[in-house]
Amino acid sequence: MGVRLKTADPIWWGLFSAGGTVAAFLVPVHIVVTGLGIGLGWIPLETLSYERVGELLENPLVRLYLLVLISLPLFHSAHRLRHILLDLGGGALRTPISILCYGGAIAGTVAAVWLLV
Amino acid sequence: MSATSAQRPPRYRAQRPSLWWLSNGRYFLFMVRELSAVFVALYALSYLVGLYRLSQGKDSYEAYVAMLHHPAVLVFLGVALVFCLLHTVTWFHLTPIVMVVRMGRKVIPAKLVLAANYLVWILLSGVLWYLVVN
Amino acid sequence: MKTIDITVTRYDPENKPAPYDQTYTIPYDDEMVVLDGLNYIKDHVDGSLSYRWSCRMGVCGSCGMMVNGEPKLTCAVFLKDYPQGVRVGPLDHFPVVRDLVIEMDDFMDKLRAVKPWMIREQEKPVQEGEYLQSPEELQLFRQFSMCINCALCYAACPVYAADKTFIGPAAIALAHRYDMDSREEGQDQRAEVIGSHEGIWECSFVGECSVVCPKHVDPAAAIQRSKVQLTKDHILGLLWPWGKS
Repeated sequence: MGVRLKTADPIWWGLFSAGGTVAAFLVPVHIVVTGLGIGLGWIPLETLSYERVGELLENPLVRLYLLVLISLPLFHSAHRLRHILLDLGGGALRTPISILCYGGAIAGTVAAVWLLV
Repeated sequence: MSATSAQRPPRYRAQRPSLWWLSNGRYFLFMVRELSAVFVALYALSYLVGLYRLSQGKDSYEAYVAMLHHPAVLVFLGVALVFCLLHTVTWFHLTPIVMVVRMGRKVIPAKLVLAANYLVWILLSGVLWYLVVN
Repeated sequence: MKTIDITVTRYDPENKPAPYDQTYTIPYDDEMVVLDGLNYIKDHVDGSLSYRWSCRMGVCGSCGMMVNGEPKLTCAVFLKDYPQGVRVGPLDHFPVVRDLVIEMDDFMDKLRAVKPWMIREQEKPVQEGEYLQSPEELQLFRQFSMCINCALCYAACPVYAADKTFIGPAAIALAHRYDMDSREEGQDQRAEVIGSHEGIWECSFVGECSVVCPKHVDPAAAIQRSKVQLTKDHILGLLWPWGKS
């Protein structure tokens, strides 16, 4: 069934949709559990204590989960941000915009790998 | 004598106004939906910063977590949550259009796919909440 | 009799370089569609007004225009629904030839580019009978075969507005109609066209093409489904380059 297309678009689109799915299912609860919930006092601050988070991160599955949670949504955002900029009239800067958006997601992924591995 | 392109009267090509996305409500909603990606990215970046602070030691990390009580941070998180929920809802409603789920020869109705999305989302959120809090 | 103001965008390239508005006040009744209003103007008020039309019944697809800023078949919208008056302009995003007449060459070229016909690796002899298809198989593509090539979806598409190389909604819906047909064997040939950068990938799923379609075709779905299929195929091709070409 495999076809070879002469463009990298399916790779970017695949990362975009995988990231969109990860973001749709996981980002809202993360904002509440590790952000708003703590700030508003629903969840005790100790859940994010230095010792506990350090202990959690010793588990390689947790590190892999965080890598996916950070990297894929970045590719999702890069793809949409590129479209917003083109829609708002950035058509003349098509290539620089693409490099900036997808390059940003790649840089974020490299940083996540460096911090988690 | 046939009409050549040199003699043909010019076509008129209108320029698209840069505020085209305000010209109807659906275009505007599309723009807001796409804008949610900015908040998704900012949230991913906040995790990156958190991990960096963690690598810098206890004091640096605890100063970062303490910022969660700052009103400006809470306002940002509130706005981010609204946009990310908008992303979740729009993404779920677009999924059945994009994915035709087939079981044998039958196509699963779109409403069922949508309901499954919401169910999995609620379950996943509950499990994560439980894991983080306990 | 009631009267209504119809403001029409005129373009007369031999005499004026830019389009201008002209308002006609005409009598109307509740049975008249916008196209009837234009025909009244042409027959009784101003014979120089140019526009395309043919069937008056939503089948030929030639009377598409911007009606109060939205792409519509003018034979399918009633004057009584615009008591404040109505603005009629040529379809957005197309070069204007004269008044309400647009140049459709680019649209036609794109329809042809997706090879909208059945491709078989080998035709079977007539004696062996017809190619059978089940009702379920028909349902997978039926709606995409309803397109009347009216080009309203191109006038609604912000991606086509920004980038005229985009192959666009109707052409991809038509490609999808053949790709999903159980008798079809030419998906790989069509993938070279719709899977190229100018094909499906620049679509940002605004969805307006499907909203404006007068025949209830869903081009936005066709485009996203093609993206899913071709992304799977492409990644499979990268992981397993020894498979089918």
